[in-house]
Amino acid sequence: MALVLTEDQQILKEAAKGFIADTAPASEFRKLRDAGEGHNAELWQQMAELGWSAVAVPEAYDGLEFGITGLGLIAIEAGRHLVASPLLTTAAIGVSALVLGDSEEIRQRILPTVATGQTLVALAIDENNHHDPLYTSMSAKPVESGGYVLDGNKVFVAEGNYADYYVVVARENGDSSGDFVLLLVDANAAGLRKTTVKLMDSRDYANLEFSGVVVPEADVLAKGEAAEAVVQNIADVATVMAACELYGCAQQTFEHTIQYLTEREQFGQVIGSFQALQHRAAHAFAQLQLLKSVILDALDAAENSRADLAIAASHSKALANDTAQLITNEAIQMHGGIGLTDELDIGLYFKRVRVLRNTFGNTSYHRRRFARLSGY
Amino acid sequence: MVVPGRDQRFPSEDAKIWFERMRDKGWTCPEFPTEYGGGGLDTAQAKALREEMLKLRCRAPLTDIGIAMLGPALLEFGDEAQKAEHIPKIVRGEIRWCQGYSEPGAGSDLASLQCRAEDKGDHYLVNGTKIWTSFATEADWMFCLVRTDPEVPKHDGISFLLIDMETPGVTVTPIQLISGDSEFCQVFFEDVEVPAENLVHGANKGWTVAKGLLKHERKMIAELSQDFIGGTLTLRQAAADYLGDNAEGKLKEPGLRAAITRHEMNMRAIGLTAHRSHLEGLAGQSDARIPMIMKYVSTTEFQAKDELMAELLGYRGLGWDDVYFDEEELKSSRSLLFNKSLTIAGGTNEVQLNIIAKRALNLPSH
Repeated sequence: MALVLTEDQQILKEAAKGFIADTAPASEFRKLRDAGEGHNAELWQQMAELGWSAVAVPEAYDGLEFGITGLGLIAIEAGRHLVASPLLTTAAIGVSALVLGDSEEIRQRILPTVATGQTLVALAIDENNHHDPLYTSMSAKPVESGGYVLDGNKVFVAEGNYADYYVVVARENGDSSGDFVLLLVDANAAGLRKTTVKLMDSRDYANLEFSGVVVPEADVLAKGEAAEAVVQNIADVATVMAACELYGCAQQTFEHTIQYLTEREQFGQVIGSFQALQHRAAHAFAQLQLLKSVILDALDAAENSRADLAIAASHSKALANDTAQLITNEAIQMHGGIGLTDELDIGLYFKRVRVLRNTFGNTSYHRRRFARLSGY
Repeated sequence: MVVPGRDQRFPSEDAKIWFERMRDKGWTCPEFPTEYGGGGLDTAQAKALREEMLKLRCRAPLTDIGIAMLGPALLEFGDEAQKAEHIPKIVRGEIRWCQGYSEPGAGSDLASLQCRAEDKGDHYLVNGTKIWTSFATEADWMFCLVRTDPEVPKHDGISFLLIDMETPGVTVTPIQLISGDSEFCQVFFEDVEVPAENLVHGANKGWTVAKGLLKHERKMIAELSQDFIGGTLTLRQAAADYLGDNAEGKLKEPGLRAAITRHEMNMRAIGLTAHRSHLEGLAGQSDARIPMIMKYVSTTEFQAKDELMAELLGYRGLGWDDVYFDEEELKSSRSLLFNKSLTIAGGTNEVQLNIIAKRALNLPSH
């Protein structure tokens, strides 16, 4: 029953809800932002102790093998409270890249410390302002001893300033007809330069410049058609995870707004009694319910590697983008002037949603993809 | 489609055989109790039956508001005699029912209805009118909301009454719609005598029955599939046939491609939500808020499809007579017009949003 949580999933969800509400509410993120930090190592260690870094890691590598749906449920709760952590980048996306890749040696070497939360892996995929997982001009030049030399740029890498490894997509010789390669790159490799970029969501991202970075044969995750398939698959998992976080952001913003509608008085009554606002709130609620179904379906598709994963993933992100946009816009409008102040959390959600909407594909990208996959 | 009635007609001999075999197993109403002729299946068994029928592309053996609306309400609120009298006839398709709710002065504000039923001891004397009654010209009986006490607050003076349409004093006038259809009627009552035993759930308690029944009505409207009203032509096929694809096999018109995609995504989301709600019910985790949104989201999307189809077909989607237009094209133009009723009938979308605001979001009344 994919659209209804199992008992174990329900327990995990409740645990995540409780821990995040107690330990990492939005006020903690605000403190982090005010301190100019983009990462809370101590919080991630606590999350790792709860096993969250190991949820998607197979048991063979000391993981919990609990499945992507479990991670998605945590991502939703993290979205509700604006938790800044490597949950998506490492626990979901990084782990997927290692699991789906062809190298058993890398899995044995890296996954056990990923499971404990010690090792962070970030996906370095985008090279432009818009997401397009299969576009790359990054050159991977094969060397005789095996392995590659990397030249090129990756931009807006989430958790890129804290990661120990990057999963990098490139093409042999940087040629658009060259074979795809998927590589694991040590963050401290010679020839790799990082620049920190701040986006409006007060998290920091890294732009990476690769100048003759040597990647040994042992760090090749996949090559050729296999690499292309893995990239698509990772992108789909990442897409669903981003949709989960957006759903959490949208839910929380919606609940804040409904609460405000029942408190704020104008013309001698609470503004939530006005039909113009009630109808917009009811419409938003309906959209949230539709989104919930689509997200649960996409998580199931990812967890079970369903044949229609790409369609389900694109659907979930397009709808999450639209719904979170609608709800954060309505939240500010219904709050009025106070919604524009930094004092309220509404703006923090608004800004996070704007970044997430662009992460792993905006609405038009996913609508186009959905159309293509549906045959039109 | 096979509909019930005193003088039942069948579209074909096959439809008749199919209906009779299903009827004899009680599978015209799979979930009704066997003591009233129903199939006696539980929810899971009924679902399995529906799925098997879908797989074999079987039509519903019988389609009627008696099955979808009145039957469930009578099972919940009717007395033993009423159930024994009416439900077996619903199951066997012997009686066609119509619904007398709206009045010229009581639409969205249904509870302000004025159709009067005076208590005369062994019978009620009914005077007044009902409007938007679907297929009243064809129906044998009407279930209807009447005012039995005009002195009390409006919700507290309403009763639920079953009226034989052959009773003297009942007249029916069809209403012609913009689509050219006239399935909606106005029904007039002039000194109509209705036996007292036809009152369901006691005097002045009709609103409770009405609310229970409205849920079934909204569910039915939300579940109406497009091919029930519209044609079988898909938007994708229409786009290919009427506009053509580009060299890459994509729709030529990027704006329409985006609009169709948006619609297809919404339909997929609605389908998944209906499925989720069903699974939640089976798991004992029903969320009562889901049914409140379904009519709103699905009727809105059905209309969006009609508008898109009209845009794809151009003049061929605007036809009126069958000289120049084929059947699918005419279905498209008729459905564009007729489906405007979907967001009005059974509670307007605005009323649905009021209900969501009040019951799902607990927002206060004005």
